[in-house]
Amino acid sequence: MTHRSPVDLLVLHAVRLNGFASTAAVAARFGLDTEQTHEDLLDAQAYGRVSRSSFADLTGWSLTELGRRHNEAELRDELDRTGAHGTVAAVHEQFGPLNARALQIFTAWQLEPDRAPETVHQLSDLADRLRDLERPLAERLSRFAGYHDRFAAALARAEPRWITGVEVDSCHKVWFELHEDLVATLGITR
Amino acid sequence: MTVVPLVDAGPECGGKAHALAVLMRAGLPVPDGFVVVGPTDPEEIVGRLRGTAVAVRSSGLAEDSAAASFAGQLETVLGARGPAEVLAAVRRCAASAGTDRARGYRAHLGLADEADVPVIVQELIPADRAGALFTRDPRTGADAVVVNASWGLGESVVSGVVVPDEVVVSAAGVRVVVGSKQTRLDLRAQGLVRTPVPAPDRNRPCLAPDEVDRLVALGRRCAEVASRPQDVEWAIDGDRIWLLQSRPITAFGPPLATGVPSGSGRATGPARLVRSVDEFARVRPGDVLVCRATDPTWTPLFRLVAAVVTESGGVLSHAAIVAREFGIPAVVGADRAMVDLTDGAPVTVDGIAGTVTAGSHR
Repeated sequence: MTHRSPVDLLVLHAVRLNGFASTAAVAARFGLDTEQTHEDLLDAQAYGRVSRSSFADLTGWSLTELGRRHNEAELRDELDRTGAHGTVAAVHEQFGPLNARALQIFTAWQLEPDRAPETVHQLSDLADRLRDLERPLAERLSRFAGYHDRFAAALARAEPRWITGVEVDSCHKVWFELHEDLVATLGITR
Repeated sequence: MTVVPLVDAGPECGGKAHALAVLMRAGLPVPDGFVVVGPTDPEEIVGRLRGTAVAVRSSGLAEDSAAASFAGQLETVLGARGPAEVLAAVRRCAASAGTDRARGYRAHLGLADEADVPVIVQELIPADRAGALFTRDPRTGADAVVVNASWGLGESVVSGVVVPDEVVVSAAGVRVVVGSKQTRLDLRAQGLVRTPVPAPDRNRPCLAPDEVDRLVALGRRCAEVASRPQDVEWAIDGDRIWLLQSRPITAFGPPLATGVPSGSGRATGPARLVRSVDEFARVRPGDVLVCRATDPTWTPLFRLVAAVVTESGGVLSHAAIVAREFGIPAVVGADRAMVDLTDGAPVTVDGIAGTVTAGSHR
């Protein structure tokens, strides 16, 4: 049976995965109610776990150091309680070599535009592997669901910015986020 | 008159064109061409074409002279042929100051906006070998000429697609390090074509010793003409060596930090050492972000900064990929950067050499 994470964990974790995000983006990450998320973020801010800052033309939420530690402690407790540590660690092990491959493909995409058709083919193979990585994770913890669908949707856009762009939910952004999710969940450094 | 022969180009034609004109007037081998300044009657451009493929480049007024090198920031179109293609390329390059990328970059650095950029149209040299040379070692400041060379057009070296051969010529002699030179870009009848370099050619130096001598002599002439050390792009077609660009080397001395080069170009700004998200508010537009790692938290800062230096990561890293998306230079895997760099001190990040050096341009 898959475990559904509590909302306060999801709110904080969405900030972690987004890095720096608006209230709407934090809520959207796990399909939470925006107004409730806003309240939860204000609570987390009162506890010193998130901060709201502006730079350039951006305003958003990010985790404070304290919030980062709190997020990792919650994730650790969740892994212990659900007994999912073995599953996540095993997936992270498989992720290592695939990540090296993925970074190679994204870099080739940026530097060798002439090979684009070949790169797109490699990305679609990578999408298949991502589905295999996600399945056991999502069977234990529902919050891991969705990476493959987002990746495949970005790839299906067949537009350059949806491959490595930073302003949209591009293939690279989704992949980078899964990397961060695994690292955060296991409480390790990359 | 809005079309100027390249040999007559002055400062109003932009930094790149002016520097080339100075070399031409000194008798150095620069491919002939002209500069389009401001609105121009298309007929005037078409009338000057000679039927060969051309290289069309923007020659920004602030470019190569301001606090940052815009390498890679403004548009270049290689291999345009025929009136329609050339005119389209000129329009694209003239408007390139208005692209989000270039405007964002200038805004990062607090430089004035440029409405229209002068554009250089030059014969494209169908190079068999090409690359860059530095008349002083930019990594150490040592009195040596450093030549980077690979097969085909110079684009492969300048954009960082290949690991080029490196030849260092100093009083101590000549040292050659053969690079992997995996691909080459060439001008063919159907346009630009990138092909794999056959294995035997990857593993041997692409320059003959006498070619190195001639390149070194030409490089030294450029430095003499400019009265300061130069960073020169060159190309060899058959027996002839051509100089495509020359600009001052912008930072010297032993690097404060070295790592894996990522992205392209160089940029200067105050080093901003950031340990955690709690310090993000200290980052100002035009700073050089120096940090340990780059998880997703850090990537919004990439929008703001002139360059990025990270302690972790390699050429294939998320940080390198994101920096490339923003078109800013990055040096990743510079493992002591947080120790060896000083917060607030001006540094120059070279995304091609993989170095962080003290001081600013000029």
